[in-house]
Amino acid sequence: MNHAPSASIALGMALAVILAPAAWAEPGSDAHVPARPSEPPPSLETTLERLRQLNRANQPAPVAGSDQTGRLDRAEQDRIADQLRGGWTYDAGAARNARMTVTLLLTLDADGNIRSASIDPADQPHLSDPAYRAFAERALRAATNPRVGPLRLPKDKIFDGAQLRVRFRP
Amino acid sequence: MTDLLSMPLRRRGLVAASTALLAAPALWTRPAHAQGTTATGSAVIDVDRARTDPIPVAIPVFVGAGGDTERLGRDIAGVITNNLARSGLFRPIDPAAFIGRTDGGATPNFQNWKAIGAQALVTGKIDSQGGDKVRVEFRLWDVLPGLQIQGTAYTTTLGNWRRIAHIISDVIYERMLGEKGYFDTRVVYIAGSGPRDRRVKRLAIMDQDSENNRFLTDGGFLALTPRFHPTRDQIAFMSYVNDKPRVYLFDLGTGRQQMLGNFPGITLSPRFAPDGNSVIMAQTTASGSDIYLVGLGGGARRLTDSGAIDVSPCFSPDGTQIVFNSDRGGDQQLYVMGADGSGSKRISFGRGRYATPVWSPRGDLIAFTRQSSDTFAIGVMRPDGSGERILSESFFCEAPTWAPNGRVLMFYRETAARDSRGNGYSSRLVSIDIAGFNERAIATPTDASDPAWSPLLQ
Repeated sequence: MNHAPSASIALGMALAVILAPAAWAEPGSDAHVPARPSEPPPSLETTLERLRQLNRANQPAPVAGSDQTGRLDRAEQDRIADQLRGGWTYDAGAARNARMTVTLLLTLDADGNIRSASIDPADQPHLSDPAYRAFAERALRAATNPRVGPLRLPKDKIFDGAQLRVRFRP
Repeated sequence: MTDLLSMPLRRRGLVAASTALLAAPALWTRPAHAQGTTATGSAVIDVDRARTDPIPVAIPVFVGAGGDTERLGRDIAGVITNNLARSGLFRPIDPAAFIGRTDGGATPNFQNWKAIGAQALVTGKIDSQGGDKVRVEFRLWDVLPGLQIQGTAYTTTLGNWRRIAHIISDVIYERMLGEKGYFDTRVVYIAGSGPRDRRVKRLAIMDQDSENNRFLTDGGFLALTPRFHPTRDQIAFMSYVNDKPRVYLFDLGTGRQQMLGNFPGITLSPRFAPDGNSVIMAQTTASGSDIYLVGLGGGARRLTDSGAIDVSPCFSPDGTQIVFNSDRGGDQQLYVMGADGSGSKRISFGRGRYATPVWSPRGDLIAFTRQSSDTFAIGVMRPDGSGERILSESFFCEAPTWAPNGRVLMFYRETAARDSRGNGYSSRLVSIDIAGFNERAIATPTDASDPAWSPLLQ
């Protein structure tokens, strides 16, 4: 009877591969020579990747469009902020820019590409102010700048279709 | 616009967005929330430490329809490119990097412009309308979402092409930065020539990009401190006609000039009130000088009577206050008082003497000249005297004037130089962004001083 592996079983199997690699005998020794594997031995990275895949397979997919920002820990948030900062510019001499903030909702695909970017509905009423609109549009350009993305999302979490909430300020 | 901004990028159509011209009150000013959390407690990723890089913009030659329109297309694109580059807030991309062409009107292939790093694209075309009339059409595109964000057409005469280029530059500036531009403006200044001990000083005027320079007076009488009327083609300035230093009005349309008021002493440092109906200026007295408000239709009212030297008055843009400099405290400092002369209060407390205060058209800053030991500086401070910042220093610099959007200052600087008579000096106009960067020399055909920036042309 086939069962989908539970998270704990999958984790145990993956760890077993790491902790108990096949024993390779020295040439000419009397030790039992195991059958040569058809594939090279797994590296640490490929093993970890398998582990991540198994973890992802056991996660519920986020509801499309749902805010998943809270699933990121501080280090993961900082890493994404660093990336977006690469395209974030503002006009330091503009009269009120120093006090402005704008929050964007970024919808992602599985690879961290920003599928769409929109201004948080709470900030949209301020767009009738041309200075605020210019500020908000610079944030949109930072988020959609092809030289900035795709975002480096944690590989053990699913973000396909999810939204991140990002607040830009000078 | 709200709808467009919230649409998924790949679904956004090419829709011309209307420009919201009314500045809303600062609704967006909200209390700062803890990092990583919104007001409602939701998690948020904070992106701060923005850079101040200029916006990369591509400005291909406007497409002409043969004849003069071809040349005009190159010239208009060139003026727009130079204006935006000079502001320091845009970085026009070298046309040699362009991939493909535009036809001036149709939707561009945005991939070509993304590939060269453009974030904004300006396209345009020019059609002859018969005679010397042309129709200049331009579109501003937001390259990353692939969206037209401005589109305007102007019908004008061939000879007016330069103003159209400045107007388009202002539209681009305002749409991309959210503040009015300053390209469709002029600068009046004092053109100087000859040796320092026998200097000829003439009133001169030019476009803000140094084009269309012309001299307004012949140099027969010394001219100083010109100022633009806020709405009319008129200049107030000081002139030594018949060796009597007085304030005059100069009509740019007719070239006629007339003395303002009939005062016994010297009148100097004029500046129009924001409503354009009067001029505020200083008049010398036996004990010093006082500040007067003089109506263009007649009448005058004395606003100060300190027994000291009160000069260089300038109204706040709302007309409720006046900044001036005075030595009433024993040293030359800046003071602010009510428009009726009441409640004067000293606002400058730094080292040195302060002079030539000018209130920003935005109302948020006062520019000044400061002299300390052997150095002159151009700086700004808030109207209450706080936040003093020095923008530029040199052996001698003086007389700041604001661009009409309150974003750029122009002043003049003297440096040692050699002229035909041996040791001499050179006097040049300089502009600088109020953020303290992008200092640029302003070209003039002769030495230049005392610049005054016009409002946006009507």
